[in-house]
Amino acid sequence: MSSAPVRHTTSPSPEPGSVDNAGDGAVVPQGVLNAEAIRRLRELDPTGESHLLTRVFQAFETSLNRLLPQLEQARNTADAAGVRLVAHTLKSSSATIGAEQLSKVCAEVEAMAQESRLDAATSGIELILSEAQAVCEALRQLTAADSSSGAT
Amino acid sequence: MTSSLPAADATTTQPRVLLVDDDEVNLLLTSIALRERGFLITEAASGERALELLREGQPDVVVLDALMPGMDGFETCRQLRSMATFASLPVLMLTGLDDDASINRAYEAGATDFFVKSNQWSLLDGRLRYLLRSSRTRLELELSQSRLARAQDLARMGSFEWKVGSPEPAFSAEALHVFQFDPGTSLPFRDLLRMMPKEERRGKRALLSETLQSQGNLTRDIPLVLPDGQVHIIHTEASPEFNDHGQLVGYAGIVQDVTDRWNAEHKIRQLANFDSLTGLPNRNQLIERTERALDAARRMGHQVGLLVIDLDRFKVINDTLGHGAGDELLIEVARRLRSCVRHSDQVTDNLLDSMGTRAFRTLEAMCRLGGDEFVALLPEVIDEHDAEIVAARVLEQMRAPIHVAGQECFVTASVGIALFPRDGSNVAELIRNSDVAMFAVKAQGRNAATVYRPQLAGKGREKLELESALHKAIERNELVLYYQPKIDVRGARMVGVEALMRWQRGDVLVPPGEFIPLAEESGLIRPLSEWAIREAARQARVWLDAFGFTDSIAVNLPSRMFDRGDLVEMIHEAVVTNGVPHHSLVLEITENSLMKDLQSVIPSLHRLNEIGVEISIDDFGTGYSSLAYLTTLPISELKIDRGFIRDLGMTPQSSAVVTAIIALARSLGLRVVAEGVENLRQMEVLHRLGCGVMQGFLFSKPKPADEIQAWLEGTVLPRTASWVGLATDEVSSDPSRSMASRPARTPNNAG
Repeated sequence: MSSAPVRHTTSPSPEPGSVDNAGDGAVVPQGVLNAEAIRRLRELDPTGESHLLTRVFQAFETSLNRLLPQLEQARNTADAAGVRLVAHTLKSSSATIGAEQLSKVCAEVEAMAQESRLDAATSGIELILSEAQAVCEALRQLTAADSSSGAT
Repeated sequence: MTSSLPAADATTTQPRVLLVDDDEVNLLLTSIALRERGFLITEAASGERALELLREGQPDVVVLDALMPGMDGFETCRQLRSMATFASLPVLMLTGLDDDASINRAYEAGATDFFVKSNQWSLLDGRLRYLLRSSRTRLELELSQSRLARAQDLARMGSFEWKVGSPEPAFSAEALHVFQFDPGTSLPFRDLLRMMPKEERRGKRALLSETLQSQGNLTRDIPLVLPDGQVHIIHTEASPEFNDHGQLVGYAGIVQDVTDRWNAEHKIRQLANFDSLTGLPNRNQLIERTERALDAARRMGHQVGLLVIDLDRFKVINDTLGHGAGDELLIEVARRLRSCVRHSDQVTDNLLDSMGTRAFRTLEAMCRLGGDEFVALLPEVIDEHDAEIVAARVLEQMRAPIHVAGQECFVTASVGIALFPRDGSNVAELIRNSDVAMFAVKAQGRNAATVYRPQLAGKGREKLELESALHKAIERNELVLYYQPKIDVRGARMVGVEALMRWQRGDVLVPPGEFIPLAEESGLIRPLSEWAIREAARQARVWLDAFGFTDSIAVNLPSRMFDRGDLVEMIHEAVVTNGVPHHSLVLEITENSLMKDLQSVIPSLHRLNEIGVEISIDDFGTGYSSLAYLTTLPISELKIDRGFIRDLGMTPQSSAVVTAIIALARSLGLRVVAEGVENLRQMEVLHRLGCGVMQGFLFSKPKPADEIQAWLEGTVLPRTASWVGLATDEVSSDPSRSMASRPARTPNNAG
């Protein structure tokens, strides 16, 4: 499912509250979130009662807010271990929410940081910072649709 | 979200999971996914927080992210493992897909398993359930192992394994505990062997190599000196283990400290097999040892000797000095007898192991059969001379006096010898035949030894049986007194009875001639006579109450009863107890025995007379009475021997003797009684010669006590008997009448 955008189905899903239904008319940036991953998340909360997606995305944002400053600081102080730890954590949590591009860049940065090649990782780190913003934007759109759908 | 671990609750079947991840997203998702699948989740965002939560309560499983800021998963796992309560808590480490290094580190840190992070929740679910199941199994195994260890510890038991070629068995901690060593101590065979008492080593080494050679099971109680300095009995059981090709690869087994049990068993064995007075092996043990000795002799073709040793006159010592002194004497005798053989107290399997084929020699012992009878078992003799040497040693050992109860006692023994296989093929035959030989020695005058010969058998055996039965006759109430009336023919009335002892042995009534001589020989005559005195006194009372009997009952006593210091007291006690006068009893002593022991008997006769007990001389005329003594003895009555009565009227000599005796009695002022009167002619002659008191079948056979009254009422009182009237016609003219009708007692009326 490499860089396919969140898939839109024009026909309404029989299950109300599913992301597909909820996503109707929502604009999702292409290639930022993997639709399959999102679907799996929705499976955990089929009725949407738990507002699972919202909670997960909030958790992701919270951790971004914590991790991104750490990453910048580690980069500025040439702290390879710090860079590596942030990249590692972000790698798995972004994969979990379907942010494949972000997860991939994190993996590359983690590998370089592990070898203490921070110079080589500079562009990767920049990419992480910018991609993270894009994922956040996509999530905001998705959750807005989700919660509006849940409210309906 | 649960903020702390749910309390352990027996009713909770949901597995409790502590989820540790610094990644909020993953933490959230994983916990949601697992809750969905029935787990109870507690979340921790860091290693430090996880350890805090663990202190509050124990989950069933910990899921731990490997890479975390601060305390990472590896360190958390290490710290967790260092706490004793979490030693076996399952820990699942979450790692990245491509992170081999982390996987290795996870195991090194003590993780139970690893799981590559994924959002395939069902996989994680499956992995967790598998972990929980195996952890539960492991816990149960550990529990059962610790129960086993506890059980083994309680039983002072432990296990070991040994691989062929290894210089030492691998002992479990419990096994080392049995040996009183710390866990992990090395205990090679060499050291174990050194812990054995020296005398055991060779035998045990041989036993081990023999077991190895035959590849058999090993079951042995092995004595070892343990670090506490005591000898412990270590029960060892091991069985061989083979590989697929059937080759011996080693042994596996258990060791157990059975000292307590062994001691208890030893005590029981001691009680069952050893005489409590002398400490010698008892009859049981003798039989067991002899059987083993006979087995060995059959196998190896040699002879076995059995010596029966019976003390002479022991009963006399027991009777005169008392049982306490008798026991003391037996202990000393046992000690001396023991020194006559290579006595070994204990015959143990251990000892037999180390002795090999000569082991049967340890069976040699001196045993106590009971009473004053001992048996020496000689497990290997060349010939009868060998056994005779031991017998001579026994007689020699008895020679020195034994001091008991402040007295010097001289004890001799009679020894009978029997040899296997010549004189018997089993224990019973050997004991019986050495008994026969021993009795032959007694018959020939005691204090000697003789070897069994078949011609000894007949007489000896009968006697042996009779004697042992007579021993028990008193306590079994088999003895009875029969009574034969003494009749004064001139008044046609009964003037007394003579008590005669009978032995009711089963259906047979044994006459006194058949057992009194044996009783005299064996010393049993004393208890027999005592019994007769008491019984006669009792009977006098019964008759007094029944029909006003005031005459006397004559009891026969052997002379040796008279030299007894307490005879007078005994008789006094018998009459007083029954409330009858002293003259209710008359003691009869034969002329022969009186003359033989005259000097020792005289004091007693005087004392008896003083208390009113009269003495009658039985079988008078057959001995060689010194008439001079007769005049000075305190006697009251002469009984003419039945031999003279039988010939009365047939030979002139007999009537001459009877006439002389009657004259003698009259001149000494003694009563005279004729015994064995069987017909009217004898009665008539006696009467004519001046003897009015008679006894015999003509009047009555000896009868049981309860028939006497009926006899009196049926024949004497109605004056219907054939003899009544014959003599009474002349009654008024008979000058000896006053004699026969119980004159005033005239003790010592000669002086």
